[in-house]
Amino acid sequence: MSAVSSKIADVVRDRGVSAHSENVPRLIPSELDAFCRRSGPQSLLIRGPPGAGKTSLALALLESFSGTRIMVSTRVVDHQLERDFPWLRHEDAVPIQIVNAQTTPHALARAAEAIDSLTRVVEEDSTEDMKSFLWLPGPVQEAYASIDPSQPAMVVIDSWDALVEAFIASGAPGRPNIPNREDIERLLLSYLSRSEVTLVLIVERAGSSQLDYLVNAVVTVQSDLSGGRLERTLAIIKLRGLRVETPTYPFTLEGARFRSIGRFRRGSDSDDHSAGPYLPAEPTPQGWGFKVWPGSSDFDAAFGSLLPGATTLIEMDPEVPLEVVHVIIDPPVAATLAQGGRVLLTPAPGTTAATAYRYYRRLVPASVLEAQLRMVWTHDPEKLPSDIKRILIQVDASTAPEKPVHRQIVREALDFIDAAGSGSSAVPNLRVGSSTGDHHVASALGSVLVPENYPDIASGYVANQQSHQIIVGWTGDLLFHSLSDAAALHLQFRARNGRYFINGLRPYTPYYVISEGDATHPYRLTRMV
Amino acid sequence: MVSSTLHPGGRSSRPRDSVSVGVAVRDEAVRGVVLGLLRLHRVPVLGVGTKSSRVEVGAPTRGTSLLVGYIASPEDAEYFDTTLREAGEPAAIALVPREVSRPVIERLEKRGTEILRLPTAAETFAQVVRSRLAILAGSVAEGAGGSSGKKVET
Repeated sequence: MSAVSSKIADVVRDRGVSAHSENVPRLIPSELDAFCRRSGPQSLLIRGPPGAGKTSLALALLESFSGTRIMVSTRVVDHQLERDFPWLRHEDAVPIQIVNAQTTPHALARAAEAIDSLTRVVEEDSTEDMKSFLWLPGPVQEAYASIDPSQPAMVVIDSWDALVEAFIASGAPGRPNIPNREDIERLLLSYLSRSEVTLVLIVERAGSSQLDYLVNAVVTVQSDLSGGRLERTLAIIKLRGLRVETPTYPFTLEGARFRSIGRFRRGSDSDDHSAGPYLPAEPTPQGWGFKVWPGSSDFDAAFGSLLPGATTLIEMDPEVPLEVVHVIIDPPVAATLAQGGRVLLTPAPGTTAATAYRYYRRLVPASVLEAQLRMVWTHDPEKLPSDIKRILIQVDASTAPEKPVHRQIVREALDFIDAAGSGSSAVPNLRVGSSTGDHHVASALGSVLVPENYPDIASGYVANQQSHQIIVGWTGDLLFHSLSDAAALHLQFRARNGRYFINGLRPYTPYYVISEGDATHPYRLTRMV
Repeated sequence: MVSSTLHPGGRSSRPRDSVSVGVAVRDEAVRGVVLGLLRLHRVPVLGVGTKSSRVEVGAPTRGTSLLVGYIASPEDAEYFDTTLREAGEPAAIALVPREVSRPVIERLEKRGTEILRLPTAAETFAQVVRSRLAILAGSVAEGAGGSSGKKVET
């Protein structure tokens, strides 16, 4: 392990991050997990249109459940369930008992005939319980029979709409006192609550019904297209007896598995601002070549390489805290420094030199920073410690706009970023800036950045193919958007309900949700499919 | 009704490792009652009817450990015999109305079928089925070299 890698490991330990961090994207929302772990009979309604992810959620609930698992399913013919959810075949998949939910023809009429024939089999005084039970559809009866009352069980009915409507539609012409759907639902809940059963009912029909009042919990799942990209959301509508910390969860069906995304709790939500930005980078892979390693295998898989001579734009909406953007930016900075490359920072207004310096100082020695890191700085450096002062390319507004000074500062920055790295293996340098920061520096130098001249000025930092640059800007900032045509990679960052979505505009990619990393990843990106 | 278990590793099957119950009742209305009785008393039913009779589409009864039949007529008796043969001669319980003649009952008893006269208390029916399943589960456990405390899964 190199000194820098060792340092990275120390930082991981300091921050108390384990390989089993609960920040890893979770399978089901914590509220539903807590609900399913409660003892006693209870019921959950999952509502959503076809294809929204209801069955996937139900399978995830079954998978996380530790008792008897029963699924009453219409997808039994030709092993459709296994075909649609191939992970059920895996060696580590949990066993699930499947009951065919397809009702037989004339099921309701047969139930009525059976009730009429009860006394041919059972003595009159023991028929009451049977009379009610026989009004339940056969698959529900079979699921009930499969439950060991001494053990907790979870029963999923997928879908209750299809099952009960087929049962009722099978008809019993001329027969009085046939139960309706509401009657059957009351019977269902009554019988299934005789033992420690968590009953999960999947329904497709929109709008609430009597079931919403009878069950203990209701969740909805839905999928929407936004900009041609799929978004899936779970909403907890009702959860009797439990506090709902987070009422909505984005989720993905990547690999035909339901996986919900919790709130991102680093960045602006973190109490630990003093520690600087987040986790370090993943080690650069062997044979990576002359490219900037983004510090994250998830990023590399999602968006591809950061090539020398190219520009990456990170566009963020105003709801995204700068700290969260740093979760993406800091790993390539750390990786570049670790590999001996140079990094030129032009901090956005409001970012302190001390914060940025302290973070990288934890990863590499001061001597490395002095050699490999420069920060273009427009503020008074007087109160900064000497080690920070040594990495500044100071823009002294009092001397601007004297042209020689201006040229000297720009020359110093360009010379720094154009030089070959000092590491044993050659890696590109990295420039990280922002359109507002560049505008601020230009103003301090007595110049004006406008959409007409910014692309040429920005491209100067990567013109000699020795470096890659990442520029951050706000959605709607004309200066930032003037770089769009020249960008090899243009990413978009959006915030919604405490989660942060990132997608590629160039190249086009689906949405990814960023979540906390672990001992080996600075962050995780989960593809939304 | 087809009931199966998705096993890790991709095997999808009925739970053959445990004792299982099939139903051979020709009379549709009574079949509904028998199925309901078994299920209400937590006895899942593996197969219904016979492959040849096509009385009801369901899993074939071969592999069934215990067959429950209903015999009120010579046709019922013939159907029960056929189903028993197709199921591989498992243990059997015959539900028999009181008006059925003694020779029919004697013939059933001769081949080892347990007789339960109808109508009966629901709990009595359940106890007869449970005790027969417990005996079968014990023999399954012994056959597998297991202990007598093996859980009965049906």
